[in-house]
Amino acid sequence: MTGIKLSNITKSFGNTEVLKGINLDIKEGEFITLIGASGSGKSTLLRIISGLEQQSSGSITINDQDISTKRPKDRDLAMVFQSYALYPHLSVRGNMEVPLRMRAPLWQRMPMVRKINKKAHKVLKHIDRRVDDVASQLHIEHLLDRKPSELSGGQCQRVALGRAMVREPVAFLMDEPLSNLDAKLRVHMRGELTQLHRDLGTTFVYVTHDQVEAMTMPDRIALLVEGELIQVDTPDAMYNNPKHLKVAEFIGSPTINILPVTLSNEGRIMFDEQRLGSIGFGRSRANDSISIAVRSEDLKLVSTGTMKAIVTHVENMGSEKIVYACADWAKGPLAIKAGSQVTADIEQGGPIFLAMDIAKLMFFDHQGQRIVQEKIMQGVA
Amino acid sequence: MSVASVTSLPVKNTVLVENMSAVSREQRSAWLLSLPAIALMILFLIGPILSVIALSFTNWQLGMTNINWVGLDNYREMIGDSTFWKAFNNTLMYVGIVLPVSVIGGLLVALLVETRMAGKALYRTLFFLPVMGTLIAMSIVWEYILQPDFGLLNMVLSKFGMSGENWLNDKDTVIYVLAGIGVWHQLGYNLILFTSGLLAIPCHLYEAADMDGVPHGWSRFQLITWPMLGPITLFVLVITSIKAFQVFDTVAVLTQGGPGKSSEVLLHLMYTEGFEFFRTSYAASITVIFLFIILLITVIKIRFIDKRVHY
Repeated sequence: MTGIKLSNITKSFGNTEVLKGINLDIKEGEFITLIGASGSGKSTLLRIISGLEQQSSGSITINDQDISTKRPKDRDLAMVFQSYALYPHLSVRGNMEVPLRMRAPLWQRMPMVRKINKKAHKVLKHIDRRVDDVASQLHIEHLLDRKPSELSGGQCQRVALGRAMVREPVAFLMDEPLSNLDAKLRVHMRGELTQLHRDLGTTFVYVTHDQVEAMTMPDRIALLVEGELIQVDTPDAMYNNPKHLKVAEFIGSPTINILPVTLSNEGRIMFDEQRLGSIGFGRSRANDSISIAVRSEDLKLVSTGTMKAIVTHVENMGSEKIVYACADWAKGPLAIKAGSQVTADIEQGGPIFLAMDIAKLMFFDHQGQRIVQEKIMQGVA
Repeated sequence: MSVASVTSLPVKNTVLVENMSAVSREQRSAWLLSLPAIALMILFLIGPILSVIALSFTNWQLGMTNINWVGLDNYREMIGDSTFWKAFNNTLMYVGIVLPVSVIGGLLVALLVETRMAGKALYRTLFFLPVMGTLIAMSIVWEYILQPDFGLLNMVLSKFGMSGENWLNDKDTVIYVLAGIGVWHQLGYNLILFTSGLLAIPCHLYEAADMDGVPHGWSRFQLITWPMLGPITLFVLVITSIKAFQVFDTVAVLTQGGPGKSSEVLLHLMYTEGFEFFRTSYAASITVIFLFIILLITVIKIRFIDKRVHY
């Protein structure tokens, strides 16, 4: 099978287990993001793929070739670092040349050899041309003679990308490459990276803690929580069909609303002493504690009803407003996304009434596992 | 461009006039605040230097009441003085050995110690010990080691069937022995400076080099370590050369410039002329030459090299 295959990767630092058996197939040409909170092990996983870190156990194959114990330079991967990691004393051209030059034999790299040896001249000429090509692809031709200290953050990022691109590696590994850029530039670079991925068609493994980056760019998202892969899926499926409560919590802004409820002894959903709609779980889940998760856009504001809440504050996003409210029955804060017309007369401290579409609700058991829809019995008497 | 400057100039001027009193008040307090430091510098640094320069043009001797202006006589005497040239050449020779050996050695040892997994602190401490010790006391220890009959060095050599020299009394070996002690004393200091430089190199550069396929060893050193050590290397070079030019303690304790002036150095010559023969004005002119050399090193550092090692 082509692509990168991780089997049972574990990593421990002393007694701390950072990665607990990761299995992941990254398809060739795929753009995949590894996302997770800080300390979830996502960067460690990337470094293990790159070979900068050695896994405690497990194996990695690239295109069916076992590279588990190979040195980073023999893995044919390129990495873009969060800090760019440009060589400060080399010009942009010098920086971009490094991956190609350093793979030439030492004697060819000696000063002046280029002038006397035809072969070395040819090799170095080829490198020059390749650097020019990549530079024009990234629109940094005019910067080639500058030093990194004379560049802005965004330009440094391009140079770092260029340095990774000159060698045409099997895959690009990116460790939070945009997190040092300002917000506006980050949005712009997101688009450029996606475009670049389309142009190159090479595998991208992209580590981030920013769920917007994780959602907008990739073909698939892999969510890591405390060293375990919770779900690997398309951004769409991660948002609309999370398999675990933690996925639902992590993806989406504002954070999904979670309503803890206790089932009745008949397995019915009792909500503030009232039955919720006509659905239930049957007697197998009698008296269980479960969580109901509902996206902020699936909560509707209505003129009156049983679900009353008090507005704590309103965030105006321009095209829409996010109303934050609290209610006893929710046992915590709620976020409701609504159009600006609907929310025109809402004020802080005032009461609102909510309704929710039962079909849009997601149920999770007390361990956080999704209770699949089929098990929910419709129309229990 | 020119239009803009013409229109903006008068505006600027009025602002300047309005702020004049505020600026002068600020300037006055700035001078007032730096006055103690300036006074101390004049008293202990600039004053003595100026008076030494002035003395070097007189014939004053310590304790004498009469003082005459003799112009360049002291310098003329110095040019004809074979002892001065001996001391000058010996000092250059000493610097010529101590500077490269202790700088390159310090760098090599720092690299070796840093690549080791265990025992870093122990090695650093061992190499740094000579720096912490007083050189006068250390010199006495060296005197015992180098003693021709019962000294440690010759005893060890005789165990291997070699006969040691009378190290400090042989005019062919004495300056090398002193330079050796100088290296021993300076190496640990340079090691610590280079170690701090090595630790300051961001490790993601080495990781990037790993990904870029830079081979370990020379290529890596040449691509990252050496350029990143540039500023610290410059500092080490300047400090070591100045310290080497100032060699005095070991000479004073071990040889007093002997045998036959073969280990005479500038600072020791200045000391003997000034405080043993009381030829203060002549000693002052040696000092001026000495200061000039130190100044030269500093100027070279600031003017030529500083710009090339900072990125």
